[in-house]
Amino acid sequence: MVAPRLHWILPFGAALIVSPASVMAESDNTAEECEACAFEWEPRGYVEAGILWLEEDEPEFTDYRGFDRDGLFLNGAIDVIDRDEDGTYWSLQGRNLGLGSRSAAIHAGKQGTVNYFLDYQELNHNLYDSTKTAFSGVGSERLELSANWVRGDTTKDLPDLDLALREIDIELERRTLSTGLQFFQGENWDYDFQYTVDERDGTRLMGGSFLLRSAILPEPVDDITHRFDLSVGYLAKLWQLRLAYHGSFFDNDNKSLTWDNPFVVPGDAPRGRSAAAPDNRFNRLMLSGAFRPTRWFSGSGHIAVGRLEQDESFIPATINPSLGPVGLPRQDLDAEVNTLNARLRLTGNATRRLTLKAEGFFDERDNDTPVDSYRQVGTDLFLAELRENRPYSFDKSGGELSADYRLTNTTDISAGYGRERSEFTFQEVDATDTDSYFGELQTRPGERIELRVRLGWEDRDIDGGYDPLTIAPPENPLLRKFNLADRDRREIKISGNYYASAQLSFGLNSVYANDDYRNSSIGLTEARDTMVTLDASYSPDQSLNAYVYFTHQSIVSDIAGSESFGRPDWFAENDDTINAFGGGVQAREVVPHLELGVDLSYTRSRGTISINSRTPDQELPKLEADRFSTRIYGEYSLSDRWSYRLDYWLEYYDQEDFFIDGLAPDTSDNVLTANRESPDYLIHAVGISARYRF
Amino acid sequence: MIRIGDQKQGYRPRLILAGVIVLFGWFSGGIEGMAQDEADSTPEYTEKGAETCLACHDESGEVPVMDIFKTPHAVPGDARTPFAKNQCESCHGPGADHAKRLRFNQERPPIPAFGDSALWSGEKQNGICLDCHQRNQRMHWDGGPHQRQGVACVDCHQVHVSEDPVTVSRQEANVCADCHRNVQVQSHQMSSHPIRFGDMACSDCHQPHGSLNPAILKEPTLNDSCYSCHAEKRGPFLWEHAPVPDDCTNCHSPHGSNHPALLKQRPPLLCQSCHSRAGHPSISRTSNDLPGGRASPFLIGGSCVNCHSKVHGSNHPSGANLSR
Repeated sequence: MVAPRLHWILPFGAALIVSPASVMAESDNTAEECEACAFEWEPRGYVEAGILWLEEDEPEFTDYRGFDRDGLFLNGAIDVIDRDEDGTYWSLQGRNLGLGSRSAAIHAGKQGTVNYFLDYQELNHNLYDSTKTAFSGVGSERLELSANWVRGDTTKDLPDLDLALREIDIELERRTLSTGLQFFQGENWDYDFQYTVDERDGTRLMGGSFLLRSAILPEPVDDITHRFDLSVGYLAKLWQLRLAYHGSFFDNDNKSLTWDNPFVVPGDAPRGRSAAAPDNRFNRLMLSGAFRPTRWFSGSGHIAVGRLEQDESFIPATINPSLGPVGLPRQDLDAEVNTLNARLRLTGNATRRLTLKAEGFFDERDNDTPVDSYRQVGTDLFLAELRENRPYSFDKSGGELSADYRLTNTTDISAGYGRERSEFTFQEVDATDTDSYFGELQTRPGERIELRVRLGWEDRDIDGGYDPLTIAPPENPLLRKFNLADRDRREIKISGNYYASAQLSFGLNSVYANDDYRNSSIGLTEARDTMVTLDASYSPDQSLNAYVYFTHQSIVSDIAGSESFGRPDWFAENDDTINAFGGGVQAREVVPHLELGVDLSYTRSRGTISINSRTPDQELPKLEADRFSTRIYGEYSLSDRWSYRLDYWLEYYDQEDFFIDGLAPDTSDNVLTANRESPDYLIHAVGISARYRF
Repeated sequence: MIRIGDQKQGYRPRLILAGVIVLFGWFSGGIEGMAQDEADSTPEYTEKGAETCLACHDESGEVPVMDIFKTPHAVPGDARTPFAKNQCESCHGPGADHAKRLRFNQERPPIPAFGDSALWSGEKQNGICLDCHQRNQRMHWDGGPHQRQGVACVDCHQVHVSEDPVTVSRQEANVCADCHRNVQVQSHQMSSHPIRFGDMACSDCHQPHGSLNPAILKEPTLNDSCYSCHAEKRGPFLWEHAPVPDDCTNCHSPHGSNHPALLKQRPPLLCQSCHSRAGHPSISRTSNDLPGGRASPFLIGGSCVNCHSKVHGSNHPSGANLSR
């Protein structure tokens, strides 16, 4: 029948007419073809070639910069892109091509359809070059002393030491190659694949001990990590989902490090052997999504399940022939850790002024690694007790509710409450509960001023008591491990901006945080972090940018200990104070065709360790590091295509570190050290290059 | 015969249904759609699009805009891009009012979005970007710290340049440092990640568009972020060091530190924060332990790690005390 249907249609249609949904309908008003639009469909970019000169290859300076020596270097860069009207494109970038920090990248594809990339990067991490070792075979898994090496009781009793010492560089090189493909299917689907291989080789330092004697050894690094990331995403009008797989496979070419024992020690172990980091693999599947059914309500979340596995065959419990074979309960660990991480956030505008947010999270590390007892052999010297391994697991869950309220057009206030529960296995504490609160005020009292003040409180309490583990020798029963202990955290943040004009602005950022481990008599008892940053920037027009900043940070930690295995009888304070200031100017068209720039920074770090113990009020020598660095450049454009550039770098660095300064290999009776020294240099570097633009 | 009462009852459900539809439309469209304060009722686009805008905003303009034609935004062949739709007005909003001929002494009305005295709110301007750029990386923008603090897309991104600095790895940290100067300064300390040379970008670890964890990290957990590059620390090991799988920042300060290996403190005090076993772990180390005195290995050199070198865990059967 027609008449009853009309009765439905009329009110339905009237509802639609008054519905704001109709007001928000987009107009279809595609503009006409644009003749004034300066589209660029030709390849463009630049190639650059030049020479660099480095005065001195000090590791602290060359660290990450790609220099492996001093002197002259050829260097180059390239940046080319070609984009076509139909959306196809390709680009090629290369930077520092003549240095050990070189990088290159190729990107190509068609916008909105497919994208492909290939990236390559090298990174050099130079640590020390004044190091010495008495061992040969550096870079291998076997470090040997000379055939006629005479072992001694202490480092002072090694007659062959001076002759045997040779200089070695401690450095790591990392090479990363990654490639990926992304393509879109229609308006909704996208698929993404990425593969990265990360290769490291080099040497770093580690201690190899025999009870109360040790030698600092050059440990070889030779490993490779393969990472796979695949994902598929679906984008709808009001929601989106993404399913992603991540796989990471670590492969260590080194299984162990064996070294000759330079000392005479009880038990007479001729050599020692330490296990290298085992091969491991991690696989994870993650589903993430977001929805926004209305402009006033949205949510997003993810859930990720993963598994870590490691089944590297064990090396023997000892290689000391006088101890004989020591049985193992299994041939490999067969370790398995299952992870689950889930987070959800909901945000909604309850009214035009009030925004509410609710967040929840769950983070689980479920360690299913088998537990067995392993006969310990103390540093290859003596049979010791059976020890059970502890496969640590934890569950962390919680949430936060917060509200933001627009008090006025210029002032917002916020408040929130959060709760977290953490549960542990094999540790001194079964669980902790943390309550957190915050209050925040953001205000713009004038057009030129913004101010933000945030107060935060966090109280963590142990649930069920602190039970020291049964180990020998035991821990002081008054010790509280700070990551598990009762803790009160207070934090205040004040930040602001003042816009003196459209060209000149000032900023302030300050934080004070205090962690009070209120029930800890032994261990970390309190920590404080204070930071203030002031900065200003000036940019009157496109041709001039200038900035200046100052930062002060103080990090203080208080630790208490007991030599009498009872109440605290010594106290220490570690105080790091860092002051930094810097600035820069970039000026274009200072004179026609000339651009000049300067950046400089000065960082002054001072670390003070004070001990109040049997000898009261002792202060160890200060740890000092001063770094002043500046870069000055000028670029002159001869024409639209050609420009020449001159760069000058100067860096002054002076470090004083009593832990290593003046420490010859035989300074300590018990440890054959590696002769590290703190860097102290003033280095100049100059670069000149020509750039051709097209 | 039809009773009047029956007819009234028959209309009620339809009226209720119509009311529900109106309310749903209200929330779907948003109350803001009817608000007057943004003055966007009946906005009009220009007739000629970019031709109109470029008549004033050309190479000689106060604010350079032409470099946008070198960017992916200006590819008409890609139907998703602004220049395949309403060109400049796709992002800046309908500009007929802004571009119209003015009467004597009349002030030019501002453009709705992304200009001096723009009419639309920051959130609405962000929405313009998010309409297209909402996939994947921007999935968790809502409710994240940058969104809550009112950070606008244009606070970090520049659209009218051939290369947006924040998308260039070696320049990204300079953009972040505008607000996070203290973090940039930390990268100048004695020990740091290779941020200040551009070999590592902030976005290698962080997701500035928002993520679900407090530090807006890309990975689900902090440790997963570290293991991306430091997989040798991941284990699982036969003998684990409990604070390691819990949280790397128990001991490390990832942005920079006055101590080697980005440590918050040096051994022995770092270790004595958690260890006070009878014997050498509980002894205080003083100036008597320096090279001029006892030259104690418990203080100088690597201190505790002179012997206990496998602090991240050991897979050696006899490695329970992390010495092998």
